[in-house]
Amino acid sequence: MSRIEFSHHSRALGYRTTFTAVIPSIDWLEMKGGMTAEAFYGRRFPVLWLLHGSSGDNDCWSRFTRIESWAEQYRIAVIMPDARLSAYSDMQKGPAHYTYIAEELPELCRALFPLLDGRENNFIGGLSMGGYGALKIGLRNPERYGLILNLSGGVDRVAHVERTIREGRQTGLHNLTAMRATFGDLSTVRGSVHDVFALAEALGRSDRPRPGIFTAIGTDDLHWEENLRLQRLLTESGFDAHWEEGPYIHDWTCWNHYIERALQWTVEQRTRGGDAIDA
Amino acid sequence: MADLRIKFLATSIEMQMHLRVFLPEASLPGNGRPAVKLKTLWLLHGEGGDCSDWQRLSMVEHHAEQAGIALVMPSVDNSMYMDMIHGGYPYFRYLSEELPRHVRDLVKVLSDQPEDNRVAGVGIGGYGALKWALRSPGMFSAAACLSAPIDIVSTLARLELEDRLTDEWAAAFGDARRIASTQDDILTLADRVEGRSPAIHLAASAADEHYTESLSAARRLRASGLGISIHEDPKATGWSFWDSRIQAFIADMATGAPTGLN
Repeated sequence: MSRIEFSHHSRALGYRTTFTAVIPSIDWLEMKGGMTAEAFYGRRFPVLWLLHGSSGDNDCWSRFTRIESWAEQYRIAVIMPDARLSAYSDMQKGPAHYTYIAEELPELCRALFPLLDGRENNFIGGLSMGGYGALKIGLRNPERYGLILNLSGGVDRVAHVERTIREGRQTGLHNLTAMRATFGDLSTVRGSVHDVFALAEALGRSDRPRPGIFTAIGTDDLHWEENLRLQRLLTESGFDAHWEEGPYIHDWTCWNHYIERALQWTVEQRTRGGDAIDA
Repeated sequence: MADLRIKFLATSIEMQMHLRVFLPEASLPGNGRPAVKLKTLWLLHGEGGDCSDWQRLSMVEHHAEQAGIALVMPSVDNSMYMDMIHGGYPYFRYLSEELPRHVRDLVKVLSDQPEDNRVAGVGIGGYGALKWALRSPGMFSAAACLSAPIDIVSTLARLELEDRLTDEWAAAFGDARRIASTQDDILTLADRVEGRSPAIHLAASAADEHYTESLSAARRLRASGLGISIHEDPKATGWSFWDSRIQAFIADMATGAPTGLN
């Protein structure tokens, strides 16, 4: 694996941000098995755009899971940006994190790194807030992402907003003031680009392509019920929606397990499409 | 500049190797602006250093941004840019063969045209830069050696005589006899250069430990027919000196001027 910690000034964010990229190159076992680095030169790889959760950053996936090993094994490049606490939004009063991840970052990375273009080679995934972000970005850009990987996503932002208003919570993660800075007028979140249920319904009614969707969640996760509701809607709306569950809470043990499952599923989907991952 | 901190498994040396790459932001693709191939300066650290030295201790990032060129800064530990005599680790082969191949495959915007590539180094990194440029004649248009031991054989012989050869140097070079007349002896390489050789810029200060040896070596290089410019500064020392020299080298690189630095 080539691991790159990349910092640059982002136009969309208006500040200097850091992302982490891991790109397949020869590993130790392959080297010891007699493979040479030549086998990798000139090749381009499919890409997983992988998003962190609330309180996380670009480093968390590789610090707390074996994502780099899985990416190596499945020959997938993984790009991990840092979206702070933005809920992957172009914030009403703040940086344009959505635009950075959906537009600026892919344009930059495709020009610089050996990545494959096209929706059949591009997948977006994440955990918790990042699962929500992956759905939001993937469902709005179905021509660009073939698969969405949602791990324990906080998918029902509308319910989250309404609960926060009811509680009148003024401090802590995603408090009322922070939510207004992110989404603007909170009464308009339902049915907007921040509402993944509305995005899924609209996409289901359209003749645009529908990304395949992998959802995994622990049965003891507080986000269980909202993911179950989204799964029903996705199925009704004609999505190829794959569901996995297990005895987990909202933690890295769960995500380390399911990110490998998600990558296996990703490879299966691509192979099924007749497009071998090593092509 | 965009700052890339890269690690990868290098098969030539069977170890995770580290490097820094800097790319000028104004030249990066974006807003529909297409990718362009960037001029690249390969910048080598001195003894005891690593790939972060140049960025931390000089203003090279600023100079490169102004000039719109990319920087590649590898770490080669205390190998002295040798395929080490003791221990056998082939650091020079990693540097001169695997590194350019890998980094150009990974970062697609680095030009591989010799007129777009230069190499420079400080101290033993200057020895590495000149050796690399002479041993890979199609790779660089110019090389800069800053306060570098050019005549490595004489320097080794003197250190042996003075009983000052360190364990690090002994591990890398063995001794003067092991290096004399080999591919690691700059003066031997210079005698064998065929065709067009890279322009060489040598900056030396009287404070350099191997000042006398290096200057007489430079005169011999010139006698061998190499295009060589020499900048002598009787007082300058350390990173202020090297920063001003690298700034001039980069400015020349941006305009494509030959290395007639003063």
